[in-house]
Amino acid sequence: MENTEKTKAGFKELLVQTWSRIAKFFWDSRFFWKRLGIAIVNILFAVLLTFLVLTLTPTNAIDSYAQTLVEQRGISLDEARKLAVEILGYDPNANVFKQLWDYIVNLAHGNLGTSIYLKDVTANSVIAQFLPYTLFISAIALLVSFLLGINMGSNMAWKKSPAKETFLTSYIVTSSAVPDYLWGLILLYVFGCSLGWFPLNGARDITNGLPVVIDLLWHAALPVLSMVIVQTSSWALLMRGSAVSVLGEDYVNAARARGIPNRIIVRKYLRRNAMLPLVTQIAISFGAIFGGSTLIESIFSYPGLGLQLSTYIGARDYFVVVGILFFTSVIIIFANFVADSVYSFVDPRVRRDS
Amino acid sequence: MKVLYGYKKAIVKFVGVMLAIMLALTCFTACVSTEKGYSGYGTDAGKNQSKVLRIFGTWTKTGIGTHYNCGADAGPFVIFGLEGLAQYVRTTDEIVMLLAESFTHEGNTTKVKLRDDAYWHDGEPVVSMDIIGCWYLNHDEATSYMESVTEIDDKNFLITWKSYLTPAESARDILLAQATKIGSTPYHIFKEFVDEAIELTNSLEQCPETSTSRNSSYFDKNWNGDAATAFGEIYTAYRAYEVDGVYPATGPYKLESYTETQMTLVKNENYYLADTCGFERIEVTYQPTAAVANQMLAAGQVDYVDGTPLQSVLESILQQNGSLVHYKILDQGTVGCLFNLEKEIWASDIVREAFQYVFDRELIKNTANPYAATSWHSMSTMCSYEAEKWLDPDDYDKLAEYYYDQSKAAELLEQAGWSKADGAWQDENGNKVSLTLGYVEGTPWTAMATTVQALLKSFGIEVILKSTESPTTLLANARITDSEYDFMLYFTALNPWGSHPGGAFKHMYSQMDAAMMHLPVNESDGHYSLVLNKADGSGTFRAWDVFERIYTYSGSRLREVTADLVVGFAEMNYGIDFYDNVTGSFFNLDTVGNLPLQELFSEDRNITTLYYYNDADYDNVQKLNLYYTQATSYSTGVIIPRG
Repeated sequence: MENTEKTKAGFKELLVQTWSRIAKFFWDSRFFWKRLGIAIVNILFAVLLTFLVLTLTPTNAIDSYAQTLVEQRGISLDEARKLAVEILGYDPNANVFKQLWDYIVNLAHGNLGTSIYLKDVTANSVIAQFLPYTLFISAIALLVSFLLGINMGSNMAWKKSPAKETFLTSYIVTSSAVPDYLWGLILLYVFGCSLGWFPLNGARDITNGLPVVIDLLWHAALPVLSMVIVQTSSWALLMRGSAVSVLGEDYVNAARARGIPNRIIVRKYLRRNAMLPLVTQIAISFGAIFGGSTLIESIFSYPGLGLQLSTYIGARDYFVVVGILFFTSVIIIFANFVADSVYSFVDPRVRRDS
Repeated sequence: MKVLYGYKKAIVKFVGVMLAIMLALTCFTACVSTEKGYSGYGTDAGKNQSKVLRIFGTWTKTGIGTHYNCGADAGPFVIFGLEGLAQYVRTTDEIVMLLAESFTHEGNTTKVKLRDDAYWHDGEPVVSMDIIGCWYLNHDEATSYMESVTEIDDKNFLITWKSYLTPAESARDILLAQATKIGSTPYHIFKEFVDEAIELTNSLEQCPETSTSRNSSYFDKNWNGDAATAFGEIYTAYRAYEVDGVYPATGPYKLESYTETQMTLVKNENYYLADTCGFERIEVTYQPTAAVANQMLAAGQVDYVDGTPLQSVLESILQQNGSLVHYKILDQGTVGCLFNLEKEIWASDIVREAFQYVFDRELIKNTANPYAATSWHSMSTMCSYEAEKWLDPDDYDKLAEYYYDQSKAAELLEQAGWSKADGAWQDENGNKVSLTLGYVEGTPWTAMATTVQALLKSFGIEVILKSTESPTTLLANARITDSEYDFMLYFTALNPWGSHPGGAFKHMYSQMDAAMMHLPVNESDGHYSLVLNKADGSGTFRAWDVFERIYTYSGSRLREVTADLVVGFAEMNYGIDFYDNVTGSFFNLDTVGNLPLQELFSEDRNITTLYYYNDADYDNVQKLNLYYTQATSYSTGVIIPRG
């Protein structure tokens, strides 16, 4: 009897301990859960807003398809509209909230959205087909601009040469003032049209006989370059600001006093420490590249996700649009969430302050 | 300090050298060709030994699907790979026989004989059921005139036209030729769906005589709710069917491969016109933005581009590449403004007339498209030169001309009770007049919209501009009740359906303009109630009643009713014609052969001469446009490679 009482008491104590541990875990990581909650709310808002905004825009899929039928068959617009409703099985006058609910149910089954026009095309298939192209150019551009930017920024902070300062500042001002699509047009004109060194459009040329990787890189060169020109300057500015603050730190002065060579100080003391704030920034930027660069892709007719998104918006193919936007929103929100979380673990002040 | 000075000097030098290089590149590319003409076209060898045609095109990037009616767009392959019984050449009277060898008309029937040597790309012969099946599955305009289509044998079939709506013989040819992609549904692949569609159609009751949609009913059947739903189910299954094998087509080019941005077509060696088909391959690049397309054209990377850009752009392209020529081509369209008749302001016929005088049409034309021909009429639903062709001279002369005269406009407005205070017009109720103009963003509409705004502002009327991304959006915005547009810029006349007045009236009454303008509708039958004066002044008629039967008229009767519809509508001043539009075509003379007007482009590659119906070179020039002829100019040897 006593044993049973003891066992019960022990069990109760264990239960209390477990609960308190769980509670402590949640309390200690409340920053994380709060961020997660915000992220989920953001995603829901993203879906809701894009869906409602799209359904409120003038014209719909029936209008677009009816116009196609008018052109193909020579029938009247009214006949074409009736036919379009029969063929597409989509009623634009249906209750918007019912459409949204159906969409969310589909989403729960892993279907990001089925095209109104093409029943075998879904947002999933569009993303699978075109995201690799977008990631290819955007990731290269991000990586190259990041590496160039931190190099440039740390050099600007380290060597106080007026000439270099003038040159790099001029570059940064010019490149960040001119948008990437304009750089794209200039590069196209000079290197594509005038000199003929690079192709003017597309991601591949199936007729030129080049190895696939070389061909892909050759086609990606100008779009990547136009993005790199603009992105490098922002990384350089961020790095410069960060590096200047690091330069005043005691450990850098100590390293100088110990006679450590400058290149070692720059590489191991300056860059590594100054890069820390930029690492979280790159996580956010990496999330953003999933949305694609519509204008750059459009100028170079590069078959990326951004260009597809604009095409589907034009066609009022709501469900695919919302699917792609949902996907990119989730990635961006997730990237922000990861960056925030990582930063908070690295720097406890962020946790405390929040 | 000295070191600093040295650095600065180096930077200045570097920037100077870079600028010089950029300037030199620009000058070089701009001045590389200053020759206005092109010599040696008829005598020297060309540069297209491989017989490849390079063009732009668009298609569904996610995939073109497995057959024409699947919903995806195969773009250039549709143009070069698919065909109909015959192909009308838009803007000319020519009809090129393709899958059909002949049409024999007798009473209210037409017997169609198919070519013996026509084959599908998979090697199967083209048979009657291929065409019949396609019509029963894909209702087009011709089927609304048909009672039935029956197979006689594999190569012959009989069309029976509705007895109460039998098209005139010349109109039958046009209607049959308008089915430009009827060769898209091989019976040996789609038998199941064709049989179901025919069975459903035959099981339906005839459309009752009292039905308001009798004239437009497909195969004269009563397509009520249940029938439409049943047909929708068949069509949905047919649309979703995935063809296992070659994309069904019969035309001169086969699909070799395609990616998201490239498509390659190869010549169909089994094609019945393979001997006259000059190009061995067609390489298509997905249509880039206008700026890049122009650069590619100037760089000689494409052989043919359709359209006429702004004058400065056109001249720059021709200057950059001395091998390019640009033809100007009439497109049977008139550009102008349409009044939204729902708005109170247009209720007064005096106000509508006053607005005819407000605009400097010559200025508008020169701003938007200087190569076009100014029109001085009010909106007549048919472009001037087409009206000149279809109307007797006496009737054509009844179309009033309005020249730029703002004082006359002011006089008329005052007559209508309007007044001007502080430089701004007020309507008869003393309200300041401000109008909203809807238009499609892009060339030539944007330039035209800003000119119209400026002209009206100088006259004393404020205009708010509202642009849309596409004609579909403009139409959707305009046709809703209480649309914000007071007037719209668009085609006040357009006939892409061959040389028959029916095409222009179709654009007006059943496809675009009437809906945008909110022509009043008769609630009992759902059709437009517009009543017009007859051209000869002998009475009035309901426009819709004549329009619905337009293909049944021929000869002098057709000319008579066409005059009634054109002159009667113009009298209403429901819109303004600014100019008869002109499109164009760029060709690379190094690579494309047999092009007309050699004597002109040897002098100047920017050919500005416009050719009209009676001119000797009219047909030759019109046939240069790929979208007017589809592939027939290429399959019949009108356009060949220059090797």
